[in-house]
Amino acid sequence: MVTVYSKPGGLTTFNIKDGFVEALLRGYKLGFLKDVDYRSILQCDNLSDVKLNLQETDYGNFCAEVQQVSPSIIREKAMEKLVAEFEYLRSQADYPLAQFLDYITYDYMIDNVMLILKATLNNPNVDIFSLVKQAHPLGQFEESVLKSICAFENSAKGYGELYQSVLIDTPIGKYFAKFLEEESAKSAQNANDVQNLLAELSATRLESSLRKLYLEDFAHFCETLGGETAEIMLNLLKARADATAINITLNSFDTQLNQINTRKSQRKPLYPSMGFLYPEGTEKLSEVGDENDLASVLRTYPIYEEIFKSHQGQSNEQTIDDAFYEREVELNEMAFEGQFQYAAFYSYVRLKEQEIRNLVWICECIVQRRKDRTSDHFVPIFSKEAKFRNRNR
Amino acid sequence: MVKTKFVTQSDMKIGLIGDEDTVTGMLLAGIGHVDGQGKKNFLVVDSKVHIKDIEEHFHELTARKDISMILITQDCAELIRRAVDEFSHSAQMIPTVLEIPSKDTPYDPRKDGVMQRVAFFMPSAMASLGVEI
Amino acid sequence: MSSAGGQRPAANRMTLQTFKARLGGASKGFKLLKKKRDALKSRFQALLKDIVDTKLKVGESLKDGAFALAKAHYASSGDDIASSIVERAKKPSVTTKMYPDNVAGVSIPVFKVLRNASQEAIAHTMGVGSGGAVLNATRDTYLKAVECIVQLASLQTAFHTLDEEIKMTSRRVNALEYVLIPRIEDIIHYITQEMDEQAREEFFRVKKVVEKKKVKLAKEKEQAEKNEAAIDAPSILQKKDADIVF
Repeated sequence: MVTVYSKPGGLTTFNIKDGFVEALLRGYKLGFLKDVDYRSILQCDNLSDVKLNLQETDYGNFCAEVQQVSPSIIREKAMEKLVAEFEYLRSQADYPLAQFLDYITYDYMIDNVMLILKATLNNPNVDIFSLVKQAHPLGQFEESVLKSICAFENSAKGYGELYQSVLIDTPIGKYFAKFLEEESAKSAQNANDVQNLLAELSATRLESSLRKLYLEDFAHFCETLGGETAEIMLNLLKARADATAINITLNSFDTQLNQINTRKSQRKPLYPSMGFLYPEGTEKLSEVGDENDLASVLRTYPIYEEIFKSHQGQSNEQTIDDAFYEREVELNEMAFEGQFQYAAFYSYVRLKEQEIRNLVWICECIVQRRKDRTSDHFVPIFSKEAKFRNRNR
Repeated sequence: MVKTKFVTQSDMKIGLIGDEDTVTGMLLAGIGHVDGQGKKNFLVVDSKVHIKDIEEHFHELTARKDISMILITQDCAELIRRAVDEFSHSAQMIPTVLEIPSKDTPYDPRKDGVMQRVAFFMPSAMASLGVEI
Repeated sequence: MSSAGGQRPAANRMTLQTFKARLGGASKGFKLLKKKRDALKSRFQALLKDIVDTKLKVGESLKDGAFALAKAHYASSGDDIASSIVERAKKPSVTTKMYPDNVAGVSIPVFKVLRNASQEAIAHTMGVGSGGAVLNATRDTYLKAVECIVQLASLQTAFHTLDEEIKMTSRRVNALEYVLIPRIEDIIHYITQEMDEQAREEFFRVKKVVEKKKVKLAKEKEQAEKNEAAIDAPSILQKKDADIVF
């Protein structure tokens, strides 16, 4: 019996528990901006017009109380809407789905903890409350946790205690624990040297490691859920892991991570130990020294080869990030195709984020009077005009 | 009369007062400096920052010896126009106060004291900046 | 023009000489200062155009920067890059160097951008996960903007300094041209006039003296003639009188 309840179930049993939430989600799907909405927004000359045009869409009066709209306000308000929707889904969800939705938020929690940690490491007198406001609302901690993070800000020694007494209780504490464990095992250091490990230089490493541990853990969780959920989610997470690995390699070229002796010892641990590239691909990536090497490694993976081409192309319009975004949108849209699985929830959040990015980008272009550049970086969602749809045709 | 002898001095910082995006960009370029006491050479001005604080920070920057120039976005300069003008009319040459356009509001050379002076000598200056006089 | 009102120097050849020397000095100074002013002014005019051009360039580059930043915001997804950049700031990798430049004897500060690559390396590790490439592009755009701004700062300080300097030189030129030189000329004029006057007086006086002398001489002559006539008159004493027996 237990196994039945802890899995999403299939065609016959899914709706018992998750039917309503999925119905909600399918309803939310209609809220994505359509091609026609994008077109009318693109016609606008100022942000008040954008606001007016958005009233026609699912966003409605989402920033009605604001007099002067700016791209950042639009972002904030749109994010609020996403959070409201997500919280509603979460409140309706039952165990395995609820756990799944929580996993989605861990991603943002990592962002937030890193944000606060980095800030306090660099500048002990930082105004923690303004930081909390900047934190991603989906990964918000409870009030008490934040307060205690504030309480630890001052002393360097505090970080160790911070971990032991605060972070360990948070959902992402296990990733911290694992990271510290791995680190101390590797360097044969005393486990008490937490504060040293959390010091500035390893902040990036910490973040990458946390992200990696999170992806692996999430993948593992999806695997236990089994069925279609696992199948689709693993696809999505693997794609993400690959994107991370390729990005890390590409972005490390100008840094000390690319020095021959650190490539293996420093850069390789940053690669997630999962994904389509893992293990032989990441093994090869860890020896890459410049873009040409990277290109030759990726040649064996047609999808990534194509994505990487957009980076190598000298045109400024498309960067590798855009290409990855496009691919992510493509994959996430696919996740909506199947029913009776959880991947669509994850995809919903990711796609909505992309939509907010699109919206902010268009607004920025309008504000800065660079409307000719809007098409550079936006990936319409569920659009008939999406590049990958036309490619398949 | 101003008779300042300028000596060669390196490692001078660039002060900055502006909106978040401008500050972010400039800091990304690497002008940011925070000293041991947490004193910064930049100030992010948002809706929560008091005019008094901006002015204080401005004076603090002008008093520092290791600052060669202070960049201030025009909308911030507008908020403390009196202090900015006062400083530019004083005999102090270093740091130089530069008004730069902010991201959200288009640059208006008519409000910039330096540009006013420039236009006084060169009537075509304003026109070439795209402003009718 | 205070026509050298109350105190007038003693009008004599020596003071005239000193004032003539002063006039020579003043007009030489005037010419030099005027040349300096013209040099400054021509430099100043060239500067104006540069300032406007650079101002435009700064505007452009900042716009590019803002645009690139928007791109970076887009690329770095949920991450709040703004705060992590702001909090990361510690030691500047871009500083400026100031050194004096000389325009027609006026020292003007010039700024130059110095980049410290070793400090930059730390910032490079940012956005390794995603968006690093865009972030670097943004950094480059802003670096260009900083360079423009520093250039503008040099121009602007030069503008200010020259402006002040021109004002000062103009004041001096004008003071020489309209106050000092006329005053000296006035004094010289006065002295020459006074000396002419003295000369005329002297001449007249001499004339008068000569006249008096002439009269006096004439008188004396008359007297003398009279005397002579008296001498010439036959003396009764010396005339032999027949009637006189002894």
